[in-house]
Amino acid sequence: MLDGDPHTIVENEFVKPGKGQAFSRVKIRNLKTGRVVDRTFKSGDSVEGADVMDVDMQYLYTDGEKWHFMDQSTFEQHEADETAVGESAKWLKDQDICQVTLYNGAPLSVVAPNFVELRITQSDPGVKGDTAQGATKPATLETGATVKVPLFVEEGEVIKIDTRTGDYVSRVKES
Amino acid sequence: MSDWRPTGNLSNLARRAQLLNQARQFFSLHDVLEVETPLACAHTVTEPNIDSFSFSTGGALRYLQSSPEYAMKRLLAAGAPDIFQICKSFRVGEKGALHNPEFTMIEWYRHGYSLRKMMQETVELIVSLLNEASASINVDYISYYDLMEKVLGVPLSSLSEITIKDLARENGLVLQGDTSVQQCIDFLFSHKVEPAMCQQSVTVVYHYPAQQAALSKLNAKDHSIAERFEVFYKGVELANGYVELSDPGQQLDRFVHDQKIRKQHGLPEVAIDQCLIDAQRHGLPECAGVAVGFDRVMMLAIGASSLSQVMSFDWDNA
Repeated sequence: MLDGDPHTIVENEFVKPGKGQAFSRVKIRNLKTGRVVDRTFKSGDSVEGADVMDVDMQYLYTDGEKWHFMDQSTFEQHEADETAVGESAKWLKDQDICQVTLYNGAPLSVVAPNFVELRITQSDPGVKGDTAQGATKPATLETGATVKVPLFVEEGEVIKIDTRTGDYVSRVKES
Repeated sequence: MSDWRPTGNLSNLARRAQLLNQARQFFSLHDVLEVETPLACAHTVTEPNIDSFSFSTGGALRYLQSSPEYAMKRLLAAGAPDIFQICKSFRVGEKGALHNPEFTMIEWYRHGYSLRKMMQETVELIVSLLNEASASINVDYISYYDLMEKVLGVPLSSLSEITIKDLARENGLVLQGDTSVQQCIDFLFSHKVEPAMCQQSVTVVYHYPAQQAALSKLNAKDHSIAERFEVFYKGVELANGYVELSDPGQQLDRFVHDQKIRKQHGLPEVAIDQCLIDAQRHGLPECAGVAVGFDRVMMLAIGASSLSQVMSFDWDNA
């Protein structure tokens, strides 16, 4: 806990002059805002630990204001607000398992699965004759997200997306 | 499978052997005698910022030495000529890219040397180990207070305690209740001054504040500064040297002061090494001494980024 917010340590460097005080130079990420800052602590200093834990949860639905998740082991349900869900919202599909960070028991942030499979709800047909390597077109997905897909991909198909980059990975054959 | 392989590759270790050899040749050319002193002694430094490894020998504790300084001074008091030692030194908890709790130190003492002469000889050894053509490397000599003023923009002495603490906070130090001004100054030095030093030249900082004199003599004309220097290259501290304090009374006062600070901070009690005090009472000759962190010099000499790359096995792998 620092300045009232939970933080996670990204990097910790030991700094000490031959004669003199030792320090820990740390890079810490604010779990609420995602901002990374540099701070230095005297060796031996302590800060209050934050009650934070990562839990795998199944995404249930959204009512437009809140996103609802269920803890897979306790079946307990949690509501996450817009700030907690953030950018992940556009990749969330019912029943997908997400990593939810709980702070004092309430969702602080939500990370979508690294790969999600989503149906294309709208995409113009690729222009015939345009065969240039790597040419892409925009496609809108069932969650509302827009991604770039190769020209041969058609409306109605299901595709695999890397949520960390927002890139198209492949088409998914439906069985 | 365990991580059994060395942390430093074999070509780095071969280079290490060459540099150790080169250091010994340097001292041989300068007529300095090699000595070996015990690593496990009945006493250790009282210095509050250094934590020594200790172990029980069925009664009294023994300490792994954080530097061979005390024993070498006892040799000098007993009439030894100019002496050097290349040995392992140990400090609890000092682990990082530039620290390893077990490390190699080159330490030597010169009779009758002035601060300037000692600084020059230290630079001579370091530059030769860095394997830089002496002509291509600049050496800047600057006093502690001048350097602070250059980086902070104002003389350190003009800043109030509150301003110094604010400055430390602005630069990222998290101040807790018991943070002292001296700790803030240490912080500013290592986080603001060291990175601001010229990367291309060797920087020698001298005349540290008397509060940071450690085992050095105070300046004869100005008792607020000490005859102590440090050598930096690429922002890395490589050496710490003194014109040695020979007055046993002053030495004892500083040790007692260290003990008081240890007590205040709840650190383990450390007894004063009576052998060193008695040796100084017998008479420590006028001399200067310096300790060089060999692993760090080695690291910079080959352009490595951490000490583990120049050690056979670092602390986590030992």
